[in-house]
Amino acid sequence: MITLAWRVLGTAFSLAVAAAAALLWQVEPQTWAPDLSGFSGTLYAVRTDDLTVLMLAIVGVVASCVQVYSIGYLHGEPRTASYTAIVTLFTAAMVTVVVADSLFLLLIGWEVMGVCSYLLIGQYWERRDARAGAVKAFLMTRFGDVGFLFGIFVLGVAGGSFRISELEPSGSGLATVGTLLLLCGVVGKSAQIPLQTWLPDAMPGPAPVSALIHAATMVAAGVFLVARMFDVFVAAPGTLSVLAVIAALTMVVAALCATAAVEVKRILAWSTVSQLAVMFGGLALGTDDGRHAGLFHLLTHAAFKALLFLCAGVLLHQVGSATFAVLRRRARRGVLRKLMPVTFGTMTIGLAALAGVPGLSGFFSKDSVVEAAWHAARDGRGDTSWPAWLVLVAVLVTGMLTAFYCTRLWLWVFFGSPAPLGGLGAFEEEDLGDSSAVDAQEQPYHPLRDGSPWMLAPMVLLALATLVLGYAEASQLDPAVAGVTTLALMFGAVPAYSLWKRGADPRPAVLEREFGFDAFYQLAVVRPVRFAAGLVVTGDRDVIDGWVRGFGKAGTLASDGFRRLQTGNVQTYLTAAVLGVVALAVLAGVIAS
Amino acid sequence: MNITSTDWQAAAVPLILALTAIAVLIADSLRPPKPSQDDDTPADAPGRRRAHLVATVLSAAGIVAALVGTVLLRDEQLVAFCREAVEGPPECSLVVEPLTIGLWAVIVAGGLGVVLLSAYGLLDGRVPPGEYHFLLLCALCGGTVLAGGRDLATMVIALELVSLPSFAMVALRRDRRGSEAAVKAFLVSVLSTAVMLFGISYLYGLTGSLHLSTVTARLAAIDADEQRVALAAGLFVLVGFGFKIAAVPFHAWLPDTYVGAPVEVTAFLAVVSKSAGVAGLVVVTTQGLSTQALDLRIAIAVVAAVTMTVGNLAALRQVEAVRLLAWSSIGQLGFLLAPLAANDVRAVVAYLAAYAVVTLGAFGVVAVVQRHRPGGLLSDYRGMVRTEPGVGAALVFFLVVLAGLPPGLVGLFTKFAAFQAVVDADLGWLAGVMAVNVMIGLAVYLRWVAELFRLPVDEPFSVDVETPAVAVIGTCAGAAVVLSVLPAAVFALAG
Amino acid sequence: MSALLLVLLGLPLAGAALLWLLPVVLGDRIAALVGTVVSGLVLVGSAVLGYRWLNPGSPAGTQQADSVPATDLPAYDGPGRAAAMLGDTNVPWLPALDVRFHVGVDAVSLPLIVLSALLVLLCCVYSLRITPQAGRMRSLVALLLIIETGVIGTFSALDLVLFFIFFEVVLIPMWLVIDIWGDHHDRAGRRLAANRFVLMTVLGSAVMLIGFLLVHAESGTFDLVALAANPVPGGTGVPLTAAILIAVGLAVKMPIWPLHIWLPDAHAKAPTVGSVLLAGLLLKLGSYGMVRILLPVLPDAMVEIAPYLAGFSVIAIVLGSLACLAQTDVKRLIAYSSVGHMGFIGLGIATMSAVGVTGALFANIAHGVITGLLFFLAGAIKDRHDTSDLRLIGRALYARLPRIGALLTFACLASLGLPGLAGFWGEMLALLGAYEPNEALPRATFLTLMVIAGVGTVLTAAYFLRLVRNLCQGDPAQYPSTTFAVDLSRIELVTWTPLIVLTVLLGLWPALLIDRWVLL
Repeated sequence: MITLAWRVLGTAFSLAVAAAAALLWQVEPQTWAPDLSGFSGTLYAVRTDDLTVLMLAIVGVVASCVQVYSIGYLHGEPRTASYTAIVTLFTAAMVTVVVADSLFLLLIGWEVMGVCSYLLIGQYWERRDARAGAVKAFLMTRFGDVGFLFGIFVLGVAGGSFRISELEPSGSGLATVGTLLLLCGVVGKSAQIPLQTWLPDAMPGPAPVSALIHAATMVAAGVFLVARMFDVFVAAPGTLSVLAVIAALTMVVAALCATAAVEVKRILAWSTVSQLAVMFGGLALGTDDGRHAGLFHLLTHAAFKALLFLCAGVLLHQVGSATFAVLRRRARRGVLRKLMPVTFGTMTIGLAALAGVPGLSGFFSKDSVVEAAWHAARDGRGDTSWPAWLVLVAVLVTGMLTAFYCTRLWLWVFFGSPAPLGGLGAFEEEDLGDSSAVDAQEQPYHPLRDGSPWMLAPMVLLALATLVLGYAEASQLDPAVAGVTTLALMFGAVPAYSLWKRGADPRPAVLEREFGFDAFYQLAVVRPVRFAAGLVVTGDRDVIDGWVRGFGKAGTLASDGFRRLQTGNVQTYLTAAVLGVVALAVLAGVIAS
Repeated sequence: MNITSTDWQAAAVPLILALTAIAVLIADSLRPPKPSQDDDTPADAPGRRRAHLVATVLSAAGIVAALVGTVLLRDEQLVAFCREAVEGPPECSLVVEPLTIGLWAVIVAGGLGVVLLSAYGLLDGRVPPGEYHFLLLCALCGGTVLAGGRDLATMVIALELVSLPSFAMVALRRDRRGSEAAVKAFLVSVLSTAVMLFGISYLYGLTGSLHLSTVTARLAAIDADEQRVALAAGLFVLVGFGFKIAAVPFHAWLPDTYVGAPVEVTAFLAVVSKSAGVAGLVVVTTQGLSTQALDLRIAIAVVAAVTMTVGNLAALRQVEAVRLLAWSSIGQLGFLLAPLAANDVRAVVAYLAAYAVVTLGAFGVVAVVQRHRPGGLLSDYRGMVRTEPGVGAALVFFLVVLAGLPPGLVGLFTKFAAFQAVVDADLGWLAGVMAVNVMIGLAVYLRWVAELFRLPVDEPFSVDVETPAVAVIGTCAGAAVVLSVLPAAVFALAG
Repeated sequence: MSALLLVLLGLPLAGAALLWLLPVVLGDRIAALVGTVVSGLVLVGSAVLGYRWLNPGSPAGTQQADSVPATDLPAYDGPGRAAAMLGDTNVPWLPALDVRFHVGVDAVSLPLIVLSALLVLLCCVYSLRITPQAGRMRSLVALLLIIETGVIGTFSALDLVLFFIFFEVVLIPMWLVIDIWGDHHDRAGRRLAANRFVLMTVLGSAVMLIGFLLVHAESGTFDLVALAANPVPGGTGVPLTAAILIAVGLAVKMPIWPLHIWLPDAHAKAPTVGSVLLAGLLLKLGSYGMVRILLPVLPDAMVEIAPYLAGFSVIAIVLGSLACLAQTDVKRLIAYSSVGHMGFIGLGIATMSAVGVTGALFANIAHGVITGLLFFLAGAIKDRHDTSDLRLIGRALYARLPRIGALLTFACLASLGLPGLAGFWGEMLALLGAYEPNEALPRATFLTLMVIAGVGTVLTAAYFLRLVRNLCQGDPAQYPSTTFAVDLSRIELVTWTPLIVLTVLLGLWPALLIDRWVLL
């Protein structure tokens, strides 16, 4: 009952957001603040402009899809009411971030999103990896948010106002510091290096939640923030260069990690990281069409990434696991393809878009990024054109890698390998110790079916969006750039195909360890903190408390001592008294001289 | 020494007390003689009771009269036993001024309380009531003279007049503990008197006078190395008083004596004789010995610090109620001496008054409990607030006042005054010691309070509290409460 | 108004007296009912005062509005300057010692007074159904009421000596509460905890008293209004000594590391209502004293000691959080978290900027509300499992006590400073104040401290999430639901709702208080 109420409420809210986007379409930018004196005047300031409208549209549509999809996905599970409520709150928080003009209001939405993701990732809190992933996600983003808060301080105090619309870009060093601090929060939220590791570990959450987090809300917020405060960032070229380096590094590294992952959702997670990096790459150019390209990619990415996660959700829901091994054991000879036509079709579209197959939305948006990067590199921004070059190269490499892992995923999941033994052997070793695989054993082997209409409808919708969205910008497409990217696509896809053909799936150890970031953090952060905690407790107990206990003990001892002096023997008393007299006399002499 | 002028009003209060003492003695001698003092047969009980009643009524009446006299004499300026000085104003041996009135009020009121308490306690003791009251009145008389005296000879005599009856009272019960306690106190007292006379003789040799004002005046004129002698002499006088009031290191006799004596006598020692000693000390230091020429403040401050620390620490682990009170009274004395070191008479008298009231009340409760639980251990008080709400609550209040925490505001304010005096006198280190001792003292009293509140009670403790005890405890509690709300009264005592 | 304030002070005492006059056989329920009525009346009265303060006409409401721009701050000006007082009563009490009975409230003290009245009322309501094992509710409720008088008195005292007296009023009652009604498994432990609490605090307040006397020696008055009007000048010698002594005395109460050592035991051993009042109100006496006394009265000396105060506060933030990470007892953990949060308050005060002090004042209220809720929850969990040891309670509370588990998560999130809930604003403003401290202070130092404190917030999040993970989450199969464990009872719901509402309200509408103190 409550579940139903929440579902209606949540879906209605999401649709309302989308409707609001439609209403605000083409309304000229404006800000609004309650006519209150003091802090409340600044706190509740909101604004609308095309960026707001764009984000509202993305959030509204994706959230509606997720809400509907969840009805089918969480069918017959406990805690659906709280789940739906939190998803709604999640959406509301993102909307707050989008419409906020006051930095504090933005911060509220920003952090509430973090909490919602924490709660949703921990939706299956019976599972260890879910608990761990949730805590990790919250702490890593929180760490970035501290820098974010300080960035707000710096910019707000320097600008004399905590309203974004009143922050005038000043090329001072203070602006660089402030934007760099903001960047900490952005990096944390959008899972860029060095805070990228929480996103793949957030996968134990329900698939629709992943779709929401990765497509529309949480991670997109980072991109949104940079776009929102774009001119402030542009005024601080140093920050943009840092952002460019981070983006380039992240997109390649994440794509490499994706090539070695053996679980559908994990691959998608890494691909999210790298695609976000692509968007940041566009923004880091500091040019208007760079910003435009980044946001365009954000839009298309929202569509196909949400679609992909929903598809993965169907696999997870129907098969019971999304690891290659289980999928292949359940679906020999590409039976999935035949038994789940809709999932297969939509996922193919999604993967193609992600890989950047010409004609699909991902292709256009990625090309626009490349093009913007090329222009920026050619013209150069002041004397520094190297960030643009860096971004350009990185995006092309990333395109190649993306094509590689998309093809790999597509083939291995939906097609039986022509080399059966090798193909089967390629993933067997992951079976044991993989918690989701263990879940798979518990699943009853019900005959495979496509998902329920609740789940399929949103997927189809998003698939359509994926198909058409690209043509919004198709007009200004530079054929040369298109050719280059298509070439990159080929370079990526062909090796994947040949490997699959031979039934081999080489996974370098360094990539499987995902460059050892987690091990490093464990060593450099977690252990020291634990050690320090133990140290503090011991210190409190043995040092400070030791002093207190020491004083108490001293008092007791002294008390016993005086009792012992109380012999009842009057001679000793008199002796003590005489000694006292002498002592006083000596004291008197001391005073007198 | 030819007495020139004497205002008998000034001597009224001591005279009343002295005459009452004699009257009590006569009245007691009129009663039919008992076969022998030693065996106190029940057959004799009614006789004792009658004698006790008579003695109590008489002495109570006398003390009340003295109290009335004190009240009437307030804001008077009287002198007695004066004689022309060689230079300067006439030297008077007995002076009535606001300070004197305040001290008298404390001493006499304390004496009245002790008498009432004795009316409750003495009945089944082996203490002969007549002698007891006679001695008590003598001591009171001595105390009043001590507080009003202004020349050293008078004060020494008065001090002995306070002390000797006390030893007799300690020994009156004629059992081993009592006499042993009395002997200890007596020996210590002898030593102290010797030391004091030694110091006084030096002062006389230096100044050629025994009168405090003259001594002060002439000490200002002596040269440097004579000043050193004078300092030593003054210290010896202090030591003499230190013995009487049991300041550390001259305190050791006090706990044994307190425990050995009957509770009423202990109350007398803790209230009357200690107040008298403090009175003498106050007079001597403020009127004579604490001047530019002869600065004893540091010595007093050191003694105060050591006294309060030792007293509180030693009290920390006591398991007998009386011993705990004995040691904590030493600690309280330290707080009393602290403002004296700062020459703040008002704070001293106020502290003395508050101390006297609550100590008397506490001993009243102890008397009640010890009649039913002779052991007198702290654990005997367990659960009293539930089983004996009145007495229990009163005792809690007394202890809290002694600790100086709310709701015992009178204790808090007097301690506050002591702090203020010390801080204003730039004795920062002493203030620090006092702060620490506030904590230790609180620890001392809280142990007792915890016992009072602890439940469940293994053998419920309920007594028939007779009227006199109720009167004493009630009066003290009432006085403490009133003074807590209107603390100004305490500070008005010394003008 | 002044009469009303006096009634607020006297009513709880009268209630306590009434309770003790009632016969012993009186049922616990009746006693708690009396307490509820009395504290309810007090809450109404304080609410009336609060209304007078909120409506713009009243002097106290407006007098804080003049926020001083950071440029012309001599030392400190803003909250804590007792300019116009509501319900001012000023009569001589002890002329011999220059002590006056001078009470009054202003924008700084009034929210705390309302908070005190609310928490005591909630404790009494809670006691209607849920009572400690020791019973004796008559005395317990009476002591709670006396504590209420002491706290409200401290918050409204405008004379140093009066402040000191009310400051001490709470000691013995709280000592009894811990000693008698504390953890019934561990008599020696609770005795030790109670003694340590009362002794350390009394030593601190004695030290503080010496500081007051030094102030009096310098300025010749104990009156806070007069002292605020013309403060004690000079940052060396006697004023400095006085400031140090007062700061130390208040730091024991707050508590600031390393004087916090009494706190964990006291909170862990105290009964639920005791912990709530201890953490919710008594700690505030220290921080309020700093705002009310140190800042306005000894500005120059405060400038000297502020960096050290800030330093120790930040140490408290970090070490307190680290200590929480290693706690195995839920009540001890929450107690240690108070150390961290009070550290933020200390930092805010030490910045001596209008923003920072506003943050400290806000954090006072927020911490009172949130930690009160946390201790209520911890008490509920402890009552249900008869222990507060995490290892013995087991995990998967979500499965066993879903509502309480959810509320605990909510309270933890609020306490770790989630924006949108009450816990955030105070700490944020404190950090902002540290970013831009009073320019008499070394800015570099405060920037460093701000960064360290920011890391402290991450640690705070870490230990609260650890608590949720180890207590609420987990495999229910391993931790079967205990039979006696009933989820959220009605009385608990009634008692906690106001706190939850306040947490959200203050989180979403901080201006409700902030604008009263300073305009950002």
